[in-house]
Amino acid sequence: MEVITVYSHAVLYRESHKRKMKQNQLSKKTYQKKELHAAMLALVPIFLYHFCLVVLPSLNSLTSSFTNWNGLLTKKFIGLENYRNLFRDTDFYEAFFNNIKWMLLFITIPVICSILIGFMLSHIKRGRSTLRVMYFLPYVISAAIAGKIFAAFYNPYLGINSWLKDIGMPFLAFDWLAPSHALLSVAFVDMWHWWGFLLVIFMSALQQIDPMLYESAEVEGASELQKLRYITIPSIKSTLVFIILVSMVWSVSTFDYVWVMTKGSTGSSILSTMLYKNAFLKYKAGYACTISVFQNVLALLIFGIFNFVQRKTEDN
Amino acid sequence: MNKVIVIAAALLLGSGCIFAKSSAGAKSRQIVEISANYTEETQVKVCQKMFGELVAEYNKKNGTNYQLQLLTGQGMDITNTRMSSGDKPDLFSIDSPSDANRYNKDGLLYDLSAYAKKYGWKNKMFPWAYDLALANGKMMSMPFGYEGLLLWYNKSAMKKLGLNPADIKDLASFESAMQKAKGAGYIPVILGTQDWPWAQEWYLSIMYSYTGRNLLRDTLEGKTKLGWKDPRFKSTVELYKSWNDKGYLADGKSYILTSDDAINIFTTGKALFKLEGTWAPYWILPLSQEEQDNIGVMLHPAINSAEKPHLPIAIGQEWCISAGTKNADICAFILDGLMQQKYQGVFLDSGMDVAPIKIDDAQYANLTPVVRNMWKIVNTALDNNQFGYATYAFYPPETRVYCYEGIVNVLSNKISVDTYLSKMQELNEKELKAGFTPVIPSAK
Repeated sequence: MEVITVYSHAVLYRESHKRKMKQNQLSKKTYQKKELHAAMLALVPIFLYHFCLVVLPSLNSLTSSFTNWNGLLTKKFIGLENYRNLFRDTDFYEAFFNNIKWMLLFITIPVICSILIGFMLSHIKRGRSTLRVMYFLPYVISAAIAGKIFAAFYNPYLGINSWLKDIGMPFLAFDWLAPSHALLSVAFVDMWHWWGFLLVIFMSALQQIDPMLYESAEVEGASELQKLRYITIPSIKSTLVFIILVSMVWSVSTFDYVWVMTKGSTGSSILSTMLYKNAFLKYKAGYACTISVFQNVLALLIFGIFNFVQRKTEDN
Repeated sequence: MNKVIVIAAALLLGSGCIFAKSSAGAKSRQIVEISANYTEETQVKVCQKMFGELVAEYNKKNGTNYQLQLLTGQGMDITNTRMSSGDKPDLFSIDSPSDANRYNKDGLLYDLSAYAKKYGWKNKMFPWAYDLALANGKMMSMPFGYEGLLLWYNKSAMKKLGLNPADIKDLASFESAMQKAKGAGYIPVILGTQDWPWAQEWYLSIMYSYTGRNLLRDTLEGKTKLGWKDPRFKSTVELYKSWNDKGYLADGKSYILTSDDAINIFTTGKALFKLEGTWAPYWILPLSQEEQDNIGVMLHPAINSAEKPHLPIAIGQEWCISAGTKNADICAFILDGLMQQKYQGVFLDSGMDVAPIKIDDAQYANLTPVVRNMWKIVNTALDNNQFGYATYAFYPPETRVYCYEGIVNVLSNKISVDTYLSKMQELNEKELKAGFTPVIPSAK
């Protein structure tokens, strides 16, 4: 009898425990479900904001690219005519290749500068913060102000040229914003503005690196260059890849410095300035939408290729 | 569950804050929204005061309770966007008769004909200005502010070079003056177009208008066979290029200098002439009296025997009333108010656009001598119908943009003059075929 009772109790206990476990699991699932709902609810405003201000206008641009929209109300469906005209337009090729040049400049010079200077700064203990702030300062100046200041520096009679003549180096003075190299001169200003931001990002990444690695390397007799090559760069690889990707995508849509300094005039025309002029000066808003669709496709292509290469590299 | 309720409540409140419109007092007052393109602080204050007075005057006369909502700094890009949306202003300004034509084609403008009759605008305005406002016999906008392109000169430089502006009337005397200036180390004619490419078209407005006003008008209207490929235009562009190559035009660096550079170089006495329109007072008035007195103004000398010196004009802006507005009456009242003589003096003092009416001499009394002289030249030219056509007021938009962008390629030897003019003609024809309607007043 007692055995039966004990057994019953054991069974009951086991059943009860099973029920409790099941209840716990259910509670856990319910809890997780509730958390998920709460999280989704919290995301609704930003999703709505993004949908209304980004997704819908983008879809509108896409549909408008198939019309002869004049920026006001006239909008007639013309099929692929805008796209055909775009690929026949010599201005488009000039602007596109200028964007490619811009991209190549921005994925090399500021990235290399910020890694090298970041690496050197990470070895300095005194004055590191001060220098970091100094290098970051250009980033907080607005493009409109910085562009105007540098346009004054580039004045062929005053500014840098005047200073170069004063110090006996007039042979270095030239027309900085002449059509043949206006794009480079403007890109320099944007790089001056941008590289300090990259420096701060890379320095944060550098601080994640285990100092023991450097100590071990030093013990092994590695030079600074070898440390940079075999420890630093592999350690900040994900940050580096992200920065290069972002630089490439933003190069496709860059606008501010070029517009402020040259209005995208001959030699410095880029896709965004071409877009602006078509939309607001030539009243060819449909054609301008075509350019914006091209920019989007290009940016997505860059992103897609990066993703693909990254996944392949990780698999290997 | 509580968490969900709290988050949902927060969302509701947040959405309410984002999307709520204040309806307090909406029943008791009406808003009249005016959109203008003034950005300079003094001019914005003038707008605020003037429109405020006119709204108050209308309320007093009609027993209404309108409140003014003034938006300034509204350029064409913003106005285009607003007019294609559901949020249109009641009364707004746009850049040119061509823009007004575009807006009218899309049914965005209110027909002002009834108000024109009520207020007698035809008799108040200059005939050429009234004609510009008409579309198929109806008045669809009000041209406001007339600008002209002039040649400003440095008096002390003129004196040092032994030149007399009154003697510089034709091509030979003008080129001789420029050569003398260059030889003496001055920049003969300064202009800066790096940050303001549209400055290039100021000079092109003069050059093409001076080629022949009737020729230009017929070309823009597509009435000539050769159009822009006419040899006369080719001669003009070659002349312009020769000036650039000789260093007469900003030392061959017009497309490298900014507009501020050009102003600085002129006001510091390094240039003999500066090409600028009748809006130049905006940088002249802040100068000292001595500096202002050292600046003179004249019409550009003739460049051939076909045309005498004249004033290529543009319309400063076009005032329009939105087609769907419920406040057309007060808007028309305001438009009529803008033509009062008392406001013309205020506009002149602030460097703003004036109404296209005969302005009393008394309104010019407070102006500095050089600005008074400028208006004398302008009014004389307009009284005698001696005006030409600025690019930005009368050319089709794509042709116009190519006009000032393409010329830089000619000046930097990237393309030939023939290629440039062929492209101008191609674009002009294309835009006329696409339905662009030139709105060009006829001049003597």
